[in-house]
Amino acid sequence: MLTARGVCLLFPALFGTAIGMLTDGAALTLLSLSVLLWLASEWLWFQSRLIFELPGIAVERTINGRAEDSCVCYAGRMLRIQVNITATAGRLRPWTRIRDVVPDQLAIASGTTETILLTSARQSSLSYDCRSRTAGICRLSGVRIRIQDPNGFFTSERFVECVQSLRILPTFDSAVSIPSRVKRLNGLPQHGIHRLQRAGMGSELLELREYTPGDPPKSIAWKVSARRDRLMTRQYESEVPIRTIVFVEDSRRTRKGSWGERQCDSFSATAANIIHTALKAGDPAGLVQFGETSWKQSTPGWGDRTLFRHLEALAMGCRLQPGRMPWSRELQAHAMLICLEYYPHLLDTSVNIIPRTFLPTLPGRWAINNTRSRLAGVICQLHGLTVAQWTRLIYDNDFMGEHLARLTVDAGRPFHGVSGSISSESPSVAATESTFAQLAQSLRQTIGRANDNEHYIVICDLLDNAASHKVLRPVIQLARGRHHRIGFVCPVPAPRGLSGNGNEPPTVGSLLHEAWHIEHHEQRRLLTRELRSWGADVAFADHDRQLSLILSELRLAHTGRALAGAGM
Amino acid sequence: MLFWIREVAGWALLGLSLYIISLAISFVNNRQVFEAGTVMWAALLVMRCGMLLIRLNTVARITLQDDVSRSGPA
Amino acid sequence: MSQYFHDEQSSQRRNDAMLPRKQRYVQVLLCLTPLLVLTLDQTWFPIGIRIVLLGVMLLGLIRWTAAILLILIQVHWYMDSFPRTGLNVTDLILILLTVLSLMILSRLRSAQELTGIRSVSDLLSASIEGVSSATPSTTGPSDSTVSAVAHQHQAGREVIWLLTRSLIILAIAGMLPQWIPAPPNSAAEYGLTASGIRTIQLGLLLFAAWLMLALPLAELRWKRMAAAPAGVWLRSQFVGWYHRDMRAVEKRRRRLHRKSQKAAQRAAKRGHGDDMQSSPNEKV
Repeated sequence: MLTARGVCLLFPALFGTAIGMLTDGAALTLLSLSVLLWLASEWLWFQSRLIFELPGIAVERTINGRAEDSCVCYAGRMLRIQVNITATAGRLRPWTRIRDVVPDQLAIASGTTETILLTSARQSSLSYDCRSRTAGICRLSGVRIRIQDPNGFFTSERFVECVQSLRILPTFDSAVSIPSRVKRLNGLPQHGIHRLQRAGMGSELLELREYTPGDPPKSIAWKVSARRDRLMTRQYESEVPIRTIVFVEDSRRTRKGSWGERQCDSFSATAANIIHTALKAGDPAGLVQFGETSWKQSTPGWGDRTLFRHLEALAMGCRLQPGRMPWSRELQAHAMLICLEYYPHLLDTSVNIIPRTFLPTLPGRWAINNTRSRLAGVICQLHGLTVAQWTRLIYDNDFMGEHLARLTVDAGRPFHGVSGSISSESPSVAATESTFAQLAQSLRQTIGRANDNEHYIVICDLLDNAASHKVLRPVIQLARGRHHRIGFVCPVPAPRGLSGNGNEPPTVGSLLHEAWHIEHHEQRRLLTRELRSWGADVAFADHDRQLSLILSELRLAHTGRALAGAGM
Repeated sequence: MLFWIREVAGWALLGLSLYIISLAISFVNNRQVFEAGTVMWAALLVMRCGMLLIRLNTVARITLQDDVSRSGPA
Repeated sequence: MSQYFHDEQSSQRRNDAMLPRKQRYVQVLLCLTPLLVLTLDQTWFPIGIRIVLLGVMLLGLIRWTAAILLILIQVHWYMDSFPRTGLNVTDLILILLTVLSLMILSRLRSAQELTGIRSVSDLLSASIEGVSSATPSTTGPSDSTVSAVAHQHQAGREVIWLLTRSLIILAIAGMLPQWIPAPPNSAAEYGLTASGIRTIQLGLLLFAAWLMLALPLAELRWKRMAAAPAGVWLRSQFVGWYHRDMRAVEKRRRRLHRKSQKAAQRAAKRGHGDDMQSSPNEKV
């Protein structure tokens, strides 16, 4: 509580008083004692503020004008946040520093998250605009308040809780307008009904064939029959609804990277766009999310309710999930920084007392034990652990690592570790194989329950452990055999190209991009050829291009045309 | 009721420790330093007990009220 | 394995801005030089050098905190107090001005740190005229723009209030030593000089006064504690009491766990070896 500045003034005042009294120096004694009394008066006033003012501070936060505990918003869209701080007892004194703790998931667009009061007031507020970098769950924990005396001798920090949870849904663009490449229909079909190039009872002509006994007389094409001198029957197309099922990979390897640049962010945005487009066209849309160990399905349906249900499922897939992380000093230091920001009142040594041991701790280990014990206290309080588990946290590295990872994820600041992953379980061949196995199983079950003529779009990473996808061959052939369409989308970074301007040398990032594309070009080509030989289309593209390709494929599917060799 | 009993007991122990300190001062005035030291040690122990009792009582009341408010009235 | 390029987003906070090392050395040198000179015998220093040193001290006010100024003035009063005489009006006024200067300097430094306005004239004009925002603070932990909301801050009223406080504090500080009488026969009775006894008595008096204020305030603050710190303190007390026993239990649990893991590994190796041995027979 006493700052370095206060200490620097206290000790000269004390020594000055002592020396002045010892040497009968009246002036020195008077000066030093005055400074000492001045410090004491500041301390007394500061203590009264701590006791009466600080507990009475109330915080209210509104997001887009709403103050509910949880709300829903879309990734990438602007949020207007306003924080009102009110002193229910007394007033907010000068030199109070108030900061709204914003998780890294939100990017501040304008305004400020911090304010300093220079005069006393009953109320203060701050407002800022921000947008979320990614879909998922975002938690605004509260406000950090730092009070100090006007001279900077005493300071105290508190974290006032004001928890609000944001469910951030992946955003979707309006449907891309693609020039039609098929002839116009003779008549407008019913909303949600599409042409199928198979014999049926539709209104579009499919083909002319010879008359067979049993054909209805009204279907005989008399003019053609007269020309050919034999009876010919008109065969019409079928008109069927097309159900679109989107399969999205939801494994741990898709969560590597910083906010907004993870694979799962790209997957969820693409899936959201596809589902929105399909529902807008009147087609039922479904969602399947598959991971390393399981898969789950969000049943197909129509309308806005289905859209929001699928968007929520995608948002849940994008949220952080703590993985197993071994204890390390870096992880501990990272967690300590988070606790210093979010929970300074729980780290206070007057409440978080370190258990003493019989033998003194070595100097080198004292700091580590000190930090670890205090962190254990905070974790026990936050996660509701028992006293015995506090001791276990101090001495069991695995248990501590697990809870530290959970602490960092709950605070919205995962520890990325050395590999850039929030889990120590680096994606292995076995994990990728099990992911594809789950995909195959989910496809098989979906095909088994499917009606005719469904459209399956699988969004996953095909280039990582490319040999693992061979398990999909029988399923793809099964889907094709039942007249379903199946397509794969693998998002890749767009080739940036070397700097076109001759004056500027190419950057390291652009060189690495080009090298990656050259290295994987052959792999992509082989993979494309293999999947197409099985009957599936595949697209390796960045977000914008893949979206337009997928939407054009959907449009073609709706018109009943087959994609003759062009592919995605 | 039990909270108040513990609170009063804690403050009573603090008062007792102050009385024992006054005894130690009287020992010092009579130049009985060793007796004063022993009595002072006892006074500090009693003071620590009293403060601990008051603090435990206060903290227990706060956490119990918090638990009740979180879980709702029974 | 495909490599996707992504930017690592650092989640660590920036440290407080610190002065560069060279600047710190210069600052310390500026402070120590006049201090060293003041401690030496001033009589053989010519008046010119004394003026120069005074100028250095005044220039240093731009950078110094109140503590350094206090130390320098204390050293001056210590050196200037021989032979020991009583205080006259001039001395009292000088001490009053010193205390007032320390107060104003401390507040200015604190305001500069919080608002980020380095120039004193800008700070004074901002406080008198009233501005709606200030430049971002260059010190202190912040990762976003700091905007100081300064209303009409009346500097004149503040100075008068500080002057009043200085007078009151000076009056109390002047009366305190009068309350401690010089004990007669102190050397014979206690083996200490009278001033030594008075120093100890003053120290005890101040300590007792601080204790009488600090203990009730601490208890009052304790009673207004929030639920979360209360839970942490309660758990920490129990952990402190039973720590040795629970540590022994935990260590034993881990030892048994390690033993069972090793036994399982040995059993797995033995089982694998049996399979390897039996496979040729099975093939046949």
